[in-house]
Formats: sequence, structure tokens, C-alpha cells
Amino acid sequence: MTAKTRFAISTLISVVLALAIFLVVLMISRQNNHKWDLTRNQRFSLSQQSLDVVRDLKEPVEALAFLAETDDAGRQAASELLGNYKSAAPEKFSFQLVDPRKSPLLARKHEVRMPGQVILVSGAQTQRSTAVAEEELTNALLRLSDLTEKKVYFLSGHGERAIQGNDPDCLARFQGGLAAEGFTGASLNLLETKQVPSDASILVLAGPTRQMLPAEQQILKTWLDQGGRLLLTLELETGGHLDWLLKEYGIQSPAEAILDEQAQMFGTEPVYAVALAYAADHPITRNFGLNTLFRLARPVEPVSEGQPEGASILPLAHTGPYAFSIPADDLVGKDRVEIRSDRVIRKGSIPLAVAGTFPKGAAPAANPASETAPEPSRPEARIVVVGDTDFVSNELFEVLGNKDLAMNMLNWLTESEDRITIRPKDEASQPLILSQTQTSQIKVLLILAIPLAVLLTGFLMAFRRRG
Amino acid sequence: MIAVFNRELKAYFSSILAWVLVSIYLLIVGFIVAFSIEDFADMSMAAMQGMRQANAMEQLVPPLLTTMGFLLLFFLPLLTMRLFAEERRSGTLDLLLTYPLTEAQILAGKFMAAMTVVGMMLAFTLSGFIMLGRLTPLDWPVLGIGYLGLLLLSAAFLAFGMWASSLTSSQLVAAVVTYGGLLMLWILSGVDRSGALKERFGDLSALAHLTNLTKGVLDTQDLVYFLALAALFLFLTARVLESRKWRG
Repeated sequence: MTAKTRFAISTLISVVLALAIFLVVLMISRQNNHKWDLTRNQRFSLSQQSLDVVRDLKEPVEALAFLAETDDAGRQAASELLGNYKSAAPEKFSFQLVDPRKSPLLARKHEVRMPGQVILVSGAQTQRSTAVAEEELTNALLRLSDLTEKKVYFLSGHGERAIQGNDPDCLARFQGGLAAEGFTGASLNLLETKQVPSDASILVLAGPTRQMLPAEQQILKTWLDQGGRLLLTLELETGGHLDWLLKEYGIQSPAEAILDEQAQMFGTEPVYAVALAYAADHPITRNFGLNTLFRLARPVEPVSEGQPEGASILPLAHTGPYAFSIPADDLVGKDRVEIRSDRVIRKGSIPLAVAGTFPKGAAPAANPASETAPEPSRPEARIVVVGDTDFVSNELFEVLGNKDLAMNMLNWLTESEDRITIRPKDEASQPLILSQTQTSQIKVLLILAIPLAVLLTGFLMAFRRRG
Repeated sequence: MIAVFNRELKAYFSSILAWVLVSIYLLIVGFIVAFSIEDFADMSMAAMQGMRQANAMEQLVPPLLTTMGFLLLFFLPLLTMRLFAEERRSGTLDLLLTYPLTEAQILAGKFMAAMTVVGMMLAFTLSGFIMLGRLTPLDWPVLGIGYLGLLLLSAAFLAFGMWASSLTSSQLVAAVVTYGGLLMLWILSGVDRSGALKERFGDLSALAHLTNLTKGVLDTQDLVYFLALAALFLFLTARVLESRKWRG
């Protein structure tokens, strides 16, 4: 072997080695990087609350962020945010960006219908974050790591919908869907237990067709007054049976039936109503982009006057512009829908559901003397009222966005008082106002003066050298 | 090394080329900065009516710094193309290699001279931000990190350009190879759609690393990327120079 060949081989080896070292260095720096966010308000860093939550995870969590490959900005932002979680606890948190169109089965498995959602997976448990945002993600992580069993009790004994059975009217699918969100469902008869069980996270009162007894009403009111959480779905025919409860919490459901001409696309009489508009500033419906379907629904709305002190009641969903309402009596007991224009009470954008928070003792009729009710020890009661029970029935539960809306309601109802709120980190707005003179000065200096001065200096130096 | 540095710096500034390059870069950057400031002022009017946020450190400074980095991609090959190709064409490279200097010293001298020109170029661009800072509050440490990013990007680009220049005696070929290579480095993240490379080595695209720095996030990963890239191509250039000894 000549000296030349030896030299060539050694050069080749050193080049290959250098490339390998380069890649190894990149790999090591990726795995052991340190970051300093020098922005004034730490805009690109996680809050201390999020750092604590992700570092305290007991089981590894994988985040699946469903974003289209064409959404470069969204993927970049998701990568940065999820990367921050991963950097905080690399052995406990990992993430993947998934294009729902390329992985339709995965998207289907996690029931991702809209891009922009993040599914957090830990063993068999999953939690959904409806947006790639720190507050939503951290709260979803909190829900995922919350090992306490959240129990949903379905009240029975007053003609409520059954939670078992394949009948289209039953709530078996709703009850079955609870497990994926970390809930367990059970039936509850207040006459039997004489109190709300201490492990109850939520009570569901799904379309009672009979009045509750005064003793039961008292148990329910006391529980709510002490921070209980209630999901109440009404029936067209018998919604009035719950006026005693709604009135105390500043909510009303007039005896009207909502009809929607647009819903005739279902090939039936216009008994369906589609919710098209949602409250953008409520956690249940924030970023909610799915239509939801209701059948023979009643309007539900906050009363205009006489709301309990400190209460906050917000309509969650409204029908589209083609909906209208007629007196409920015009439909109850009838064979078919007859629409007479003189019977129309209101048209367009009719509220279908409300959500309210009530500080302890907000409802005036609570009975402090009751000794049977447990102490939920929550600072506020939360109530969601929906003007229809069919929307969570076996028949409609998985139609359009009904399931998502129902699960959002349950998640909001169970949110604990230490729920994380992370304020947005946008910089304060600091507008720049320029006068015409200032604009001209900037242009003259930057476009003319500086480049010209540099060029002239160059010419001058070249000229002096030659001279 | 100092001798090589002085020689190269003199060569840059004795020819009108460096001055023309710097002034054209300043003209283009000045044009973009001036009109971006004007656009931002228009946007601020909407912000004052409560329609949206307006903050120079979010909406104006990071994109401007990224654009300045992108423009370097077109100017730096013109600075590096002559470093070795011209010496090779005129036959002075062999003479230089016979001096009592190591390849590393020659490289370091030339590299530092080119970095000085780039540093000067970038220093002039600060005038736009100083003007802006008198009109609206700026976060100077964030701007400082952005400029550090531009300097590191320049170091990596110059090292690549020097390597391309060491391969040929044609300045044109050196410039074209540098343009192609740097453009590839810039858009590399778009090639790795599956994210497999990114998962293992981090983002290989210079743009991604610069973007982090322009936002005011100092990440060791970004620093290591630029420094490792510069070191790799400086090493490869040294090997090319060394190979001349045994190729004869």
C-alpha cells in the first residue's frame, strides 16, 4: 500500500468519523438540552403549575396530537408546547403528532372528529384536551392522574330513563361511555338511601316524568347548596315537574316545543333541533365545533330577574335561525305535528342548554337543618340543564357531537376547585403610532443614508489606495 | 493566524466587492425593516380599536431577524467563494501552505476575517432596531439572543462556504455549491416529514434553530447545532487542504 493510499484511507475514515461525531453530538444535545426563556413574561415556558403536574405523574403518559400535516403552524406550536412538557419529565411524558387523515383508525379509536385535539394516553386510561393549549393540557393531565373514582349517580324512581337496556330511549350508551372519561355510573333511589352518597361526584336527573317527593327534593337541594353537581335533562311533556328546582337556581324552561325546519333533512317531521351556536367563553363549549342533535326539546334559559346572588348562568347552545317554538301542549298527546304560524312563540336562535355556578348557600330555600346530606366540601354548586333527554339516549348519543358535548358537561361538572387556570401569556399590547415625519425619517435613514454611507466609505478607501 | 486574519481582512476591504455586498445587504434589510415598521404601525391602529394585540417583540422583531438570517444565505456565499478558490486559481494556495502555519491556523485566520465582515454587516443593521426602540419598548435581551443566533448561523454558513471554496478553483462553482447546500440546510425540516430524523437528532434545519433564538429562547440544543455544524465543515475544509499534500 502506497503512502498516498494510506493517506486517502485515513482521510476517508476521519471524514466518516467527523460526520458520526456530529450526529452523536446532536443526539446528545437533544437529549440533554437546557433552555432559558429570556422573554419578559416567560412566554415560551410552562407555568410552575404545569411543571409540577407533569413531574408528579405516576404513570408514563403519551400525548397524541391530532393535526393535519398541512397545518405547519399548528404542528410547530404543538411540538413546542408538548416538547416543553417532555423536557420537564422526559421519562414520564412523550408525544406524537398524528395526521388524522393518514391514521384514520387511530383517530377513530380515540373518537377524534376535529383536528386540533390531543388525546393523553396512560395505560388503559385516556383523557382528551380539546385544544393544544397549556391550560387544557395540564387540566387533562390532572384528570388523568386523578386516581380517585368519580362516581356518577343516575337518580331513579320518578320515571327517569333507564341506564341499562338496548331500547333506543335508554341511556346505556351514555352510561357505558363514562368509563373512558374516568367515571363510573350507578343508579340511585333517594327514597332508599335517604341521602346522596358521599362518593357522588355528579347526580344525573334524566327526564323524570313524575314529581319528586318533598323529602327527596329537600335532600337534593341541600346537596346542591353544599356544592353538589347536577346534570338535569328535561322531557318536553314533563319538564314542568322540575320548575321548583329550576326556579331556585334562576333557570327557566318555558313549556314550549322547539321545532326546526332545517332538521327535516332527517326525513321526519320537524321534531329535531340542531344546535349550531355555542358559548365561546364557557369551558364546556369553548372551541366546540360540532353540531349536536336534540329531539322534542324545550328551551332552557337563565331567568332575566331574580337570579341567586353570586350565581353565573350562561346559555351553552342555541339552535340555528330556522328553529322556532310552539306551545308544548300543541304537540303533547298529538299524532302528528301541525304547525300554525299564529302559534309560533319565538323564532331562530333558541337556547337549548344552560350551565350555572352557584356559591354555597346561593339558593334561598336550602335547609341548613338537614343532617342527612353529606358534605361535598366544594366552594360552589354546578348545574347543567339541557332541554332534552333524547340527546343522550342510545339512539342519539353517538350522533353528531352529542357524546362530546355530554362528556364535556360531565368533565366541567366534576372539575375540582383547585382546577388549574393558566393565564394567557400574550405580551401586553404596545401599539406603535408613527407620524408621517417619523415614517419618512426611518425610510431615509435605513434605505438611503446607512447603505449609501457604507458604499461611499468603500469607494473612498479604494480611491485613496489607488491614489 | 493573526497574519492570515489581517491579510484576509485587508483583501476584503481593499476590494470594493465587500463594501458593495455590505451596502446591498443593508439596503435590502433597511427596506424590509422600514416597511415592516410601517406595516406594524398600521396594525397598531387596529390594536388601538381593541381588534387585536400589537406588540413589536411578538409580531415584528422575530420575523425580521429570521428574514435577516434568510438574506445571509444569499450574501455569505459571495464572501466565502474566493477564500480558497481564488488562491487555488492564482496558485497562491500552495505558497500559503508552505508557510510555517498549520492548516488550522490558516483556516482560523480566514474564518475570523469573514466573521468580522459579517459582524460589521449585522452591527449596521442594529440601527433599525435602535430607532424602533426609541418609538416602542423593546426587550433588549431577546434581541441580543436573536443577534447571537444570526452570528451563529453566519459561522455555520461561512464554514460551509469555506469548505465549498476549498473544493474547487472556480469561484462560481464554489458559490453555486454553497447556495445549494445552504438552501438545503434551511429547508431540511420540510424534507423530514415523518419526523424520524427530528426525533433522533433534533431539527436538522437551520431555520428551526434560528427561529427559537429569534424568539428569545436560548436552548443549548440550538447553540450546539450551529457550533457543531461550523466545526464539522471547518474540519472537512482542513482535510481538503491536507489532502493537497499527498495528491501533489
